[in-house]
Amino acid sequence: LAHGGKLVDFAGWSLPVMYGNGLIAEHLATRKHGGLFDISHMGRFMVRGPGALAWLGSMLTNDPAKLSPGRAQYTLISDQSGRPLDDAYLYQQDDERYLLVVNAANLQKDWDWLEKRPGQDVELEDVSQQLAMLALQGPESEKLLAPFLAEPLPALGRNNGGFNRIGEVDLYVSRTGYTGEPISFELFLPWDAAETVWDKLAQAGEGLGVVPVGLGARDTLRLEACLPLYGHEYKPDLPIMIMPTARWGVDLNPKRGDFMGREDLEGQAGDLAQRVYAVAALTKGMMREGSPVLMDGKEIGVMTSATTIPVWRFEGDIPGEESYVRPLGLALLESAAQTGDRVEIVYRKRVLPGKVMQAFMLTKGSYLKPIEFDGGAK
Amino acid sequence: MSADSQVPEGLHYTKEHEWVRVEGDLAVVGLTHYAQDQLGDITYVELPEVDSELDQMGEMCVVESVKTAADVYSPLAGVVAEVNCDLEDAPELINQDCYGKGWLVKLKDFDQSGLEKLMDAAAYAGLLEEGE
Repeated sequence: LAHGGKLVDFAGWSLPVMYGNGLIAEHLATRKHGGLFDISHMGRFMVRGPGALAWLGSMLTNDPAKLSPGRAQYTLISDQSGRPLDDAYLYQQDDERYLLVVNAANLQKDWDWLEKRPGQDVELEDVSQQLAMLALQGPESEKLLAPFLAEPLPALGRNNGGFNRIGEVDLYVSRTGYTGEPISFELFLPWDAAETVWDKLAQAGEGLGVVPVGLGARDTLRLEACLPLYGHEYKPDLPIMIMPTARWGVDLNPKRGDFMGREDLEGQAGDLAQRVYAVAALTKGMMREGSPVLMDGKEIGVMTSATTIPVWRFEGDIPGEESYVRPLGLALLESAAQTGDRVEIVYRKRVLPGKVMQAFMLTKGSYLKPIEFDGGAK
Repeated sequence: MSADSQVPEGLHYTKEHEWVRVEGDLAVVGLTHYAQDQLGDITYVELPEVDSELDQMGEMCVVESVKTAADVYSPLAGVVAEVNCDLEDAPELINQDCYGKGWLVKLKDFDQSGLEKLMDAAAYAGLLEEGE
């Protein structure tokens, strides 16, 4: 491991949880400059053929008919009863060619599910071992990537992508990611070329403050951006729509045909007893997945992901030199809870005052800036 | 990394990776370099109340990093004389200077005989090597 990282076993992969300088440094560097991620452990399925669009439209919760070549969308794989098998990202690369990226831990389950439900004139192939996947996320990522690309960058705007080249290496570049960063890219490239491209980007990144980032900071970055993680916010026995961001990945347009889970998802779109909320602690301390959340002394749910997350102290709309940590998380709460509500989070022997938030960060130019909340830690 | 900078001489060590330094009537307790490295970036420390009585290898405090939490045990039976309040604002002191500014607790009226159950630097360094 060239960057002096720590390895963990994850879904059968040996992966860096962090590189040289630790998780906090990686998180902060991504927000201020940029981060380079090797996310080749994720599952990648190629879907090809004249029937690809119709089949994907029947198997996924979002409507792939809204895509065009070079566009991507968030989507979910639902079972018959509107429970999530996985959340995923679908990239339309060409007229009859799509790439579906799924979670590593669900790869086999997703594959089995999709393969058992074949469509007409559509070919499904697991290309996880042929295509590697890198992510470059953060304010300087465009400046870093652009000089390497033989073709122009994908058009400005999230979810735009296109084929490109770095040297002799053919790749697909997409303005997508899992950090919430306004400037972000994912690269799909042949497995055997990934190391060379990684080395080029890592080396050029040094001059810009862009660092290699492991799985640990990948998790805190997605959590700070209130993005869900399967197994935490999405669970196989809970309705998909408990996660508010699912609305971006579920298309219930009446003009759209039937798809797996549609009937139940329509029911869920009405009212649910619980949903996922962003919860910040208002003092120093700690909270973790499983910590009970109370309102007026009564338990109304639990944290589904939570930890202390580092953040830059901003000077205006620019990150400054100082950082601090905030206990932040996502929680599954009774759906009567509303943004601004005061709650208490129980962790070990302590009870932390907390607040239901709309978000923890907001986009300011090329940065994600922390939303300040009264009584915030420091 | 040279072993002596990571495991200073003159301290007493537990197999749970705490250290003790006797300073007159007080026993200063902290986490070893190995422990802080395993925990990663430390973001929060829950310290005991001053004057609370601790058992040898009883719960003393909790150290939290982004990734995980660790219970820290009192290497000696004793009474908490002082806690390191600097850690409330700067828990990263444990990562930066675990044998100095990152100390956790000072014990008074501690059980001297308990020291015999602890390891010296050579024995603790040996334990770390075995683990690798």
